[in-house]
Amino acid sequence: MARINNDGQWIVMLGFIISIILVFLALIVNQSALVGKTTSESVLEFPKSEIQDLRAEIMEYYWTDDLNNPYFLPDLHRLSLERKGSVVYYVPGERIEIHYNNGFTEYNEKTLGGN
Amino acid sequence: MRVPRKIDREEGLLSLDFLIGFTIFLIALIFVGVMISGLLVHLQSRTIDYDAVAYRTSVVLVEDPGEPANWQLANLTYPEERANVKRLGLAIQKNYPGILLQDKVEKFFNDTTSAGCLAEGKFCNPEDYREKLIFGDYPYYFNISLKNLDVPSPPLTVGDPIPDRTRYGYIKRIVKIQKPDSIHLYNVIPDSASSLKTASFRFDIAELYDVPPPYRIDPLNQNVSILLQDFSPNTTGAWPNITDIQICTYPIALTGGGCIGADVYEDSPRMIVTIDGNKEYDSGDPATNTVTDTVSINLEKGFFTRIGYDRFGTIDLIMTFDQNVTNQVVYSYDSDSAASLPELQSAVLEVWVW
Amino acid sequence: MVNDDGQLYTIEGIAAALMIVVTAYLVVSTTTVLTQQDVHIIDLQLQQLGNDALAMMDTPNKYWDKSNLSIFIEGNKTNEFHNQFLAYLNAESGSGMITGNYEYNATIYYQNSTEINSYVFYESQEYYRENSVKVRRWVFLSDSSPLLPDLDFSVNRTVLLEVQLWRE
Repeated sequence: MARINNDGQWIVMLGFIISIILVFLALIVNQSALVGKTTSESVLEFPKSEIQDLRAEIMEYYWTDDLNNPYFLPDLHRLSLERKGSVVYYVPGERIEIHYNNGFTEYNEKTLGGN
Repeated sequence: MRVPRKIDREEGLLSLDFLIGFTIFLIALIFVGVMISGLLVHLQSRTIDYDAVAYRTSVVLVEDPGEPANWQLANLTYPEERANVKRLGLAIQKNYPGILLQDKVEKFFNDTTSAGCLAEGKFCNPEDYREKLIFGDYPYYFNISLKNLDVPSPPLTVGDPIPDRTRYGYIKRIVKIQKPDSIHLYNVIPDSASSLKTASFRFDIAELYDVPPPYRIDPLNQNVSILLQDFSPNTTGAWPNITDIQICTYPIALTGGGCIGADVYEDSPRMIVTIDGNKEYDSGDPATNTVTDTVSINLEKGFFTRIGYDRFGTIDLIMTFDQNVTNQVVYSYDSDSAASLPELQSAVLEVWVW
Repeated sequence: MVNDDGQLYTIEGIAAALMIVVTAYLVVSTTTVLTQQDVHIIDLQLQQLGNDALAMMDTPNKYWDKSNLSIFIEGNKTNEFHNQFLAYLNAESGSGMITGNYEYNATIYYQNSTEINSYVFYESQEYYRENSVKVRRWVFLSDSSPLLPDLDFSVNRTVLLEVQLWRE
């Protein structure tokens, strides 16, 4: 009785291996589709407008020579903490120090204020 | 006796069956290989990051003053100066995002196609913009449009028109453009009442710079326009002649020298003195420098930087006549003499990338 | 002459080819682009636009002028605030067609002597849980505002204007 001839099985084996490689590639492509999401998410996460706004407001007090306003720092501090979830502090002086921390991003600046 | 087998390893014969089977397999493999390499093209994710590119381009335009910060003064006909401009940002200063400088806006939207851009001194569309603004290896198509919302005027555009059926990235930014101060006006006092033969215009740069940049009168980076008017003949009926024009740092003795003649440069940026609206001042030919109406002085932007003065100086522009023209020791170039002060106008900037 | 021999390799070849093609087809058809990423792009555009609009309204056009935002809050000019804010959001340069339909709620938060209080400045429409972003701006007030009666205006004050912005 003749044996089952297994000679052709290497072709099927090749086909099978290539299929596995294709599935593996599919996994990589799936990962790459997340790239766009991460880009815009990380942009949304960075508090660019908050820091620019904070700086502009402090400079407004600088140009009107009112940096020692008794209400400004407490208002800034409490409203930032309550509504924005960020800690804000500034120190007037010859060099104005500005500190900002929202848990993810920290920003510190020492500036003369003239610009 | 050797049993004949389908493949006789010593004879090198392949059966027809094997050939057909293997051919079918190979064809399918090539077909799938080409299909998958088309799939791998998607892996470069060009369709996903158009919006990110548009957003980044808009941030460079709106919030970055560019590199160098006074790139609007560069003369683009010189290749080294063109290569020196690394980033095209339109903002007036890094601490004032969203406020654009008019000179930068005009220079940015002054483009031309690749053929003549070097000779004409304009930006090459699209190479310069891709290299200095959009960045990245892929040659993106772009369209950047700016429209002034306060003053009705046609929108400024650079780039290709947006195609209908393509996915594109888009961002819209609201900005304000600084309209610089206009001409500064000064009056002459008739000869009978005046005692000085020199009209001195003082540029106190330190004082002018004590104002936030969006509202600043900036003689170092912007055009300076002065109009001296109200001339009248003296008691003998002779009109005044300009004998000399000098630019000096103040005080002259302390800084140790720094007076130069007015027409020291022939090319831009330079000083242009116009008499009576049509004659140009000529220091070599004094007879032509008679003033009967007005004298206008125009210092092109970048002139003071060219002759080496900076924000820590006080500069005097001294005009000498052959008769008395004024009682004022110094005419101050400041907010009081300007016909209109710098002001901001709202605008919208849109960026498309595909 | 015709018998079953010689079909071995052909059948194996066809089987392998079929397997590869089917797998490739399945792989290609399952890699659809995730639509989630589009939503975040829209959030990014909306937030940047809202922040820009508030920032430009808070910048005076001439030196020593009050900014528009200060004038609107000090004078209780809600309609003018609405008109200018929408004008900025809907501004177009004309090169492409972009749709608008923005709605928003604006609230002022301030700190009086004891607590943080709020005043609803403008509501263009009831919020029904659409996808929204919040944009905020500090507003510098030098004169008293009738909207905030419990605030001490003997000196300059700063309040927080919070705008919840969405597209209809």
